[in-house]
Amino acid sequence: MEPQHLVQFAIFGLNIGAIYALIALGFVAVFSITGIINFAQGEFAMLGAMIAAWLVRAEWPLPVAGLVAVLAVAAVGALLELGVIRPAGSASIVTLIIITIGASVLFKGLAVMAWGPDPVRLPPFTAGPPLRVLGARLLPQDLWVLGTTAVVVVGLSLFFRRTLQGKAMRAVAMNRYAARLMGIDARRTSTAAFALAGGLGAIGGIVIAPSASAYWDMGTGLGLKGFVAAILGGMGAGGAVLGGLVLGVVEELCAGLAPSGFGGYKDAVAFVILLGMLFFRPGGFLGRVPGRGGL
Amino acid sequence: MSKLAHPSSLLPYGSLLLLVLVAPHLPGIRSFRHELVLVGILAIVAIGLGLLMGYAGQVSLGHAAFYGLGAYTSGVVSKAGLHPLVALPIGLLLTGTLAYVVARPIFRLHGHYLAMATLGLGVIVFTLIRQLEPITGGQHSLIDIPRLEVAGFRFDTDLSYYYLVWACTCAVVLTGRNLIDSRSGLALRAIHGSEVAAESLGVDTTGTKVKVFVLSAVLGSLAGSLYAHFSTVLTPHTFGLELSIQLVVMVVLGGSESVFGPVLGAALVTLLTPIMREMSRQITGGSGGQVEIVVFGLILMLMMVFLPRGLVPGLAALFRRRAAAPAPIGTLGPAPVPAGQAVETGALGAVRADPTGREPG
Repeated sequence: MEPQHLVQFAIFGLNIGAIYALIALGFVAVFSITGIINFAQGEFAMLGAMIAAWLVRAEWPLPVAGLVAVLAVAAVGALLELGVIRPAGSASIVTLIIITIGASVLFKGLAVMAWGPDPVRLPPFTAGPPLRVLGARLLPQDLWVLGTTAVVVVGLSLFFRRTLQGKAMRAVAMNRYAARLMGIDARRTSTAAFALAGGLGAIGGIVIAPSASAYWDMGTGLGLKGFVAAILGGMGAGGAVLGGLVLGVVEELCAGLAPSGFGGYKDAVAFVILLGMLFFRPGGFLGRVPGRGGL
Repeated sequence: MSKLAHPSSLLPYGSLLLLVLVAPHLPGIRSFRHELVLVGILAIVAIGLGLLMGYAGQVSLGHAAFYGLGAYTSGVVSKAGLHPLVALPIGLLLTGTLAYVVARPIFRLHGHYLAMATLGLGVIVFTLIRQLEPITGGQHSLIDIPRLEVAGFRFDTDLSYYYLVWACTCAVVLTGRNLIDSRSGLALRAIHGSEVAAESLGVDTTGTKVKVFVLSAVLGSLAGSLYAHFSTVLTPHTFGLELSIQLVVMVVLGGSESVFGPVLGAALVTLLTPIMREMSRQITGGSGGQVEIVVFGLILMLMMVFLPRGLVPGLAALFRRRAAAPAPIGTLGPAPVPAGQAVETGALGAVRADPTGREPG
């Protein structure tokens, strides 16, 4: 095993890990505010990628297509909350899980109906030759993935700490009742959390689409891995980003270093880590109180 | 069994038995015998999952793993030359042991975390089935699994296998029903109502949950073994996350508060999928075939919003209100009363020595 191979796997891992991180942030936003694990989170990424690819094929300029796709999926998220989550009221956790599973199935079905079962292509954001980093290849698209994720994470952090709406969301995440007593409309924050999760998922899906392929079922894997990342990070925002990156790198290293013929076990790696974490350190590796989110 | 003696409570069982006996001979349904066998098989898994969800209040998103373990153990062992009836208990033992080992750590978790842990278990077992090619055949499928043969009789037609499977399903329905009315069943319902309350009343919550988890896993394995000798071919993707979700759908669609709910759910999901696929093909003109997924998702969401207890308890409540009489079907469900009261009756009932002391309605 040559060192540049390790660097190459790390680059792959950071790339996919960044996407896991974006999706994990969506999970954390919804969970912290509503207490719901949104099983349709991966489908937000799929919808983002598919809508963007569809608009680009219709000759829309890429930045506009991307922006419209992100806004559209954010709207889908908000509609999901308003349309089924809110009417379900104070239903049990099992009920809420199944509602979001239903939404995920629905989105997948609609995607196949609208865009067919075959993968669609989204071109790389910028053309150009791959860069050389310590003997490994770094594609321009990889830089876009990492750069976008960094911008989103910083922007989100500023949003939660500097803006009124962001502070309101953090307050609701900390204590819903106290926040309501302070005059914060907690129900509106729930809708906002779903919209935010939709937007975050869509961004993840759009930036990964050029290097992976975009198709109707791409959200299942991304969603599950994103959730594992969120758990690893103890369902907190900072932990989710770290969890995503660590998971991505560990996964790619395992796949890359495994003896030939064992690469197929890659998908199980995340879940072995997940079970180990849940059983032995349920608060995530940052050691939070299990089951309590934070933004 | 004491409650079965009451004539009115025999009605649903009698109807089910009659339906099971005549269904494969009815015109129009005859051509669906193959699907009816699958309904019976999946109903067994769904009943087990229903006990876990409806009575213990724990959702599992990994039950396809137990089904798959049973199926592959039966397939591999019987292909190695052992009799299917020897392979079956090996599968049950293996699956039960696995479930027992993972149950304790899993039940330290709650709600979403529990669901995710079972999902992880399902993905890991699925990956193992897919990757252990020398044993399971992996993507190339496990083929030529011998058919079931008992005392010289070969179950090689859909009709003979139908009666075999449904005999098992009916036995599982009765077992489930008896469990629900037993002391453990009452303990389970108390746990569903409130774990803290149940524990404070002396119910061993974790122990009871582990028991029902192992039982539901073993039922999954039994169904898997039945499937292996019916289909004679096993492919990994049959046992993936999709099936785990479908099983949950069956339980919530039919309603987990009655043993009949999962059976109805299994029938609806298994039979409606090909029907809807056919309809969508006719509507969209050949290329379609995705309409059923969309309808599936819609049903799932709307059911949970408007009829969260499922069809059987929902219909039973409707029926009861119409009849305005002591309900025959009400004795099946745990709670014809509002949820808040059910907590109390369930929890109180659980600590009574005599389970028949609690008669709803």
